[in-house]
Amino acid sequence: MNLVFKALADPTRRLILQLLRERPMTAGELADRVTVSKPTLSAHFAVLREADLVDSDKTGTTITYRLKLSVLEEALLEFARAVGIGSARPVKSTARSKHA
Amino acid sequence: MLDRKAKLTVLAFLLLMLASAIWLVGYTGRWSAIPFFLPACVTFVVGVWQWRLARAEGDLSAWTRWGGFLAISYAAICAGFQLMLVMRVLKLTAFPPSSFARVFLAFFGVQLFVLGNWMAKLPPLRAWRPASLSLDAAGEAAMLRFGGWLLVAYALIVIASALFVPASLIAPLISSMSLASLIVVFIKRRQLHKSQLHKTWIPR
Repeated sequence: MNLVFKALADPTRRLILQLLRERPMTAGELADRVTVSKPTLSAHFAVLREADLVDSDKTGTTITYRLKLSVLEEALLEFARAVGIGSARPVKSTARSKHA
Repeated sequence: MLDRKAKLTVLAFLLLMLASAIWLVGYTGRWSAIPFFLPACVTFVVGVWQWRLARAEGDLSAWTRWGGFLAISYAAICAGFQLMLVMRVLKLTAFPPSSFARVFLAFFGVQLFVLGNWMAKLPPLRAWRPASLSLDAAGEAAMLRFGGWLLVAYALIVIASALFVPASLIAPLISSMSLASLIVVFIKRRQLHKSQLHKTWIPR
């Protein structure tokens, strides 16, 4: 449970989870929409995987991430977002993802 | 399918319940199907689960664990209720029967809460469904999350009913809620199926 709290305490990781609620996404798609460097993003994915909040499938060189939240974890995510622990980082413009 | 440990545990609970049912019939000296109702329920639930999972494909380890918890907890709750009936017949407890039912229902609600919370985390189950209700992996994942939330809400109402609702209203409330939940699940699945068709439809 400590790992879950640690994972949800960071606004970037919460943003990743919010994006994954729409649909499963590849690491590239997520990198396009979150304003952090790729190594930092990899570290965030590692924390989320360790807390068992996301699942990943590797097909060739593409890693697809899928949300893996229980009801209580999702409620906790909503609570952390509503309370605003930390400050959410802005989502990048979708123009870049369209050109990619 | 259930793992060996779950199968043996459920079997032990079933044998215990059947033995107590036979003993109850022998002790009271008149035939009644009521003591056999709970063992029949456990056999039905576990049988349906086994049948469903035997026809599924892919990695089923998470579903096996979930099903194991479902089968063991359900069998344990039913065995506990049966044991309370035996104690009541032997006059070992002065606990009124209506309180038995409330305790049973509250435990059942807690079990559903755990199952619903866990269900949202499970990977999509690749098993046969009618074509009009089939979904792709993303749709199945969305359905599981929705089902998890619904089951948790249902469980909270079951627990609240067991604790606070007058005895005469519990059965109609739970029955109507169960029916409403089934209808909501059907509508949600149809909705997801239609949105999936809409996404994959390519105009000529």
